[in-house]
Amino acid sequence: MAVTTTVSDFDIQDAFDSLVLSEDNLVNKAYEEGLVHGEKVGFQEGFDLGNQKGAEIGSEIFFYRGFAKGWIALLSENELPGENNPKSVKALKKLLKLLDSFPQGNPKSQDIIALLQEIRAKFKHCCAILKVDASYSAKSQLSF
Amino acid sequence: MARLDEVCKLPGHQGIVWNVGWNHEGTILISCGEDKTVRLWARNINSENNLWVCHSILSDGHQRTIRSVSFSPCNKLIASASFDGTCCIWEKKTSTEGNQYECTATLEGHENEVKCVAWSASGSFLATCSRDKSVWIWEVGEDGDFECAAVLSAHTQDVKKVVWHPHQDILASASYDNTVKLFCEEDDDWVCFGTLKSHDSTVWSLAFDSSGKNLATCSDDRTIKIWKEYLPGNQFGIATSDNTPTWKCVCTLSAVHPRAVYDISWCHQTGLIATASGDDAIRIFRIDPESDPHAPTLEQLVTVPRAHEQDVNSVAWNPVITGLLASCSDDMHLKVWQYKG
Repeated sequence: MAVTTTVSDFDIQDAFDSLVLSEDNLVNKAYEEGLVHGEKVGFQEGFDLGNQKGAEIGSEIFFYRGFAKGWIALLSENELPGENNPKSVKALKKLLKLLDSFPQGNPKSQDIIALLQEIRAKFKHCCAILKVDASYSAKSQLSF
Repeated sequence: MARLDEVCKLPGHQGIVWNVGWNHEGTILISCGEDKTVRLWARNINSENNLWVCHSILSDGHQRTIRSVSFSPCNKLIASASFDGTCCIWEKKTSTEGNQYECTATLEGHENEVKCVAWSASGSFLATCSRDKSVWIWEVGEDGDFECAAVLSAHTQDVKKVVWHPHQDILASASYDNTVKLFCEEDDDWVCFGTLKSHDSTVWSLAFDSSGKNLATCSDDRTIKIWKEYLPGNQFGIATSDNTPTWKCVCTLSAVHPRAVYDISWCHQTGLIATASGDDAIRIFRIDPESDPHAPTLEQLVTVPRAHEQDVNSVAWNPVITGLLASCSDDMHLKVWQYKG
């Protein structure tokens, strides 16, 4: 009985449809598979890029931070009456404040490139006041 | 009929002459150029026809083209900006051999070509701008040393020109990013408080009028524009924010200059506006006194079509002698002109 049911369910129209649409179906299936794969690979690529850029920016930020902290420590240590240079310390503290305000994440609402530019300009300002020739270069990074 | 008569043509520079200016007494004309020299010119009192002659050449300060030069308000110092990335300060020394200028300081910090240098009216600040997109402000110390007061990276492209407000410590800068930015000091720090957007291409130069309430700009887009300052709470309904004035473009003059306009000078005595253009011409304008001050119209008074043989790079009104104008060009010459209205 079951056989006859199947036979009666069989519609020759469906068979023809599946033949005619087989190309479309395959394309759709391949598209879905490709999409899933692409998402996965794309995510990885994006993650790697973000990871790399984030590391670069982080490295630069912390280079400036080290610079600022080091100089502030040095200048306050040698702070003698009449010999201190409040202007340089002021500029360094400002730099530190900017560095502290730099977000750890990747907020869409904040223009981090503009902030980074402001930080770079402040760093140059500090260098000019301190009369030191320092600059951040990615090449000076340690590699293992 | 207004006229602009050539007083004299001054050869001497070996190459493009980039910039001209006057000392604040109007007695010395200053120029600089591709030949890495700064030249000082004065009126020859012995000659009957009052010609201007070169009396000093400042050399050996820079390694590359000198793009801009400026006299300090005290007239004792000269600042020059060069493509070698530095700015030199020259000081007048009086010796037995006469007056000599010596390079007493070199301001370093820009990454590459310095495009312009300008002293503030108070003499307490010096501003420089560069192809590295930054504007630097230097504080002039009493003992003649210069300390960096700020590094401003507000522009997104090459900064072409910096000009100070005639009475206040306010700086305006013009850039390849098509904008003009205004800076002032706030809580010990210099901040950008205004961005003037309207030009469609590089803003080459700008000039304040004598009051400092109006600003003229000229651009590679072949137009000149007049901007007006509207203070917070003004009665004209112009919105301001953060209690800072708004600068609004109140006049655009187009279809007059067939090529880029490289420089603009606003005479503080007569109110006349002179332009230097890539079509080798010098033009003189004035704001039509009958026109509405909130929508002024510019009246063209004079055009000298072939003022120079090549691009005119700079024009400057004499601050004291009425109607005296200096210009310089790619054709290696300076010219002095007399306006007769």
